[in-house]
Amino acid sequence: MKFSNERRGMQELNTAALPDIVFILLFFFMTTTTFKNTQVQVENQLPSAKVVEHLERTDRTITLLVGQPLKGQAAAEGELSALIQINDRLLGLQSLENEVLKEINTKPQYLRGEVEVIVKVDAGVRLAVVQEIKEKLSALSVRKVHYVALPKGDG
Amino acid sequence: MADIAFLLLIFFLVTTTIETDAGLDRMLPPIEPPEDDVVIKQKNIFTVNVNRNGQLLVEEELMDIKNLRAAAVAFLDNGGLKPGEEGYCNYCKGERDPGSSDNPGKAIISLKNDRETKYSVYITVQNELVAAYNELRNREANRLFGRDFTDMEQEYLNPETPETVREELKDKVKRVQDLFPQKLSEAETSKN
Repeated sequence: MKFSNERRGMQELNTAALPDIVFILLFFFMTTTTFKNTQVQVENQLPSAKVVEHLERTDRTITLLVGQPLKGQAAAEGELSALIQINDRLLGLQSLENEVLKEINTKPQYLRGEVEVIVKVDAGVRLAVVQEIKEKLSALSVRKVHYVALPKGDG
Repeated sequence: MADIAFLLLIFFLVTTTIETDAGLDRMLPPIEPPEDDVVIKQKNIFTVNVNRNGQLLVEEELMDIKNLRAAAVAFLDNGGLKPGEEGYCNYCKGERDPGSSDNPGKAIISLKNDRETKYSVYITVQNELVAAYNELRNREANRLFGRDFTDMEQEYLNPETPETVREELKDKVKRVQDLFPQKLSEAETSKN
């Protein structure tokens, strides 16, 4: 009796095309991805809270940063002394409505009615500023506000 | 080797989600005030005043921020009506003090801030009040459905949850919310 000691080799899967596929994917994501490249231009030391929630939908949000400007442009004196940053623009309270409206108009039509505003306010800002922002947003019928806070410890 | 690396790359490409900012969700009041003024009994309002130094005046008494949550829970959970009266709260476990809130549906927390108050204080106070609601809602959710309300709500809001599960959760979340509706009113900030 003959025993062949040659083993049957495993059938090789042809992976010659795999690099092509991966490169196509890589190029696809490279060309379609956009990064938000904004530098923080205001002081932004966030307060902390325990019972924080995470936003689930990010396609309908506008982010406002509120605080003292880091350099250049000085904010108004007194209790309303803070500037607001939307994307790369620094603005005062008086032009907030216009700028938020512009941002809303960049959203697709079906989301415009349910825009949510993420506000990142510096811990040292006086509430008068926050109150003004709230009034202006509510005048634009933006109702949902998300106050960003750093999560801390147990709930 | 290269194949494994590519597979890993594709796997992470597909599964990665970018973490969103954590924070407190609030609804702003509508711009026009409601036409008819509703009369609310003083005992159903829990007033919290914050002054410019960040001190709290709760129901006309100076209070430390540490005790705010417990005080809010006691107020919301009071259920002051007697058994048999309309609106009697059968799930409340509070003091049943007739001088405090009638039932959780009527209990309103009114928050008033000074214009000079720091934002960090405001967030801390909001945090404690939301925590008080969450504590009570969690208690009821555990009694009725055996799990935390915050947990249920998070799953309900997650867009990745399947539709059938969401439908089921919607009713449960709604039911617990109705037991302790969040009625948090923010008065306009005062000048002094």
